[in-house]
Amino acid sequence: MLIRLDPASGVALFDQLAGNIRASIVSGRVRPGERLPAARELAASLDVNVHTVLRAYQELRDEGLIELRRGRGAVVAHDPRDYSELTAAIDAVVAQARAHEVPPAALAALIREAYQ
Amino acid sequence: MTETTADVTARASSTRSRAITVGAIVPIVVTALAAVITASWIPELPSPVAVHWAGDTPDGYGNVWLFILMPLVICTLFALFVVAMSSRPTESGLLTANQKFVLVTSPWMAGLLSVGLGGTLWVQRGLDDAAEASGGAIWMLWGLLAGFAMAIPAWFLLPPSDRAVVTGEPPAAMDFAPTELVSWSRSAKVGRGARAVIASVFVMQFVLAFVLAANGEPAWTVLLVVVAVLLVLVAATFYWRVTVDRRGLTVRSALSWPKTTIPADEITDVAVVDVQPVAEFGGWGWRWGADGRTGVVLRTGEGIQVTRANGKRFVVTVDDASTGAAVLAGVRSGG
Repeated sequence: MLIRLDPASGVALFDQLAGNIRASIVSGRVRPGERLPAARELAASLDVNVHTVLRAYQELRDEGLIELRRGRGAVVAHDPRDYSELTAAIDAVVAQARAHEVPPAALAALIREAYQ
Repeated sequence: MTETTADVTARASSTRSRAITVGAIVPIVVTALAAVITASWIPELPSPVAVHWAGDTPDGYGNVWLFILMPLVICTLFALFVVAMSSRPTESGLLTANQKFVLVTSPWMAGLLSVGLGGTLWVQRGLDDAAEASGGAIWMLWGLLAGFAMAIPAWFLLPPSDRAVVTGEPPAAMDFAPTELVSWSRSAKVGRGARAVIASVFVMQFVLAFVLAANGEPAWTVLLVVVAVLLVLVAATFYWRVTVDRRGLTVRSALSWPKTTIPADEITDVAVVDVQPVAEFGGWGWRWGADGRTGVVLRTGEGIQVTRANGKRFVVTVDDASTGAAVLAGVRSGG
């Protein structure tokens, strides 16, 4: 699982972190049942505060993507939820955005708008 | 001098037939001959025969067929293992030093068991009672010498060991902004081959402990302690996490020990390599290869290899090694 955070982007680090892990899970790059690094370990690895990692993990748990177990750390949820249609739809939307030269930030804003 | 594919194929097939000769045919023929010879002594041997010696006098007795057949059975089983292990020569059609070492163990064992056990039967010919036997112990020494007399020529019959340095494929370094925070990690666990070996070792230990306990031998408690120590070692080296970040490459057992970190600024080269645990490292776990590499070798297949400034190389087998190597190359180049 590759995590890349940009402190200069203006998006909160925990949000970026949750986004990175979410993308890895939804795309299937990390499989159900796979163990994620312990929060303290990941925080040291990225050189961020441990609360940043914990907050990202809690967000993902609330979405049902990971399970947090005391002493066992974070595990990708076994729930066999199928995201393949969502992944395909996202690919299609991104392709459309590229064709119409809509930048990523604008596309994200459009999606957020559509949610409300 | 350029080498054609045909040259390599020819060399690989010669290597394979020499490996089968050394690892299987010679030991099986020698132990089979020994079985025929020792069986021909049966009319002259006492029954039961001495099978265990305390110094130069026997202190254990058993059926004569035990010693006639044991070398053949053990060496045949071992031959199957070593031939399977060396059936795939290296890219240049040779064998690794590890493969050669395991192969010559096969004729070594054939010499040791045939002469060692056969000799203790030889000294019992013509006796009415095996308890009168003497002079058996020295045959274990002759057996050892016979083992080396077979193993040393066998080493030279095999092709020279492959000293080619495993260089692997260099990854395409990932580009990172100087302020970007980066972490790549994967969990890794021991592969199927090693799990089968571990399981069979434990089954054998438990069967042995059970047999000893059933015979009233107090040694079974020692065996259980050995099993407990082995369990701890297996537990400590079963699950791992491989992490690549700005600090470098960290390989850490799920129990936090053992653990090693190779700092990014000490790394001079990163590559993706294909790892053959038994041939290159003689097994699984935290290993030292005959070619000087250290490694956390958990399964056959892809791994990340790093070379340090002092020339030492370290390998870890991990899924998606190409991404891990690309990240490591990226942070190393100061991105």
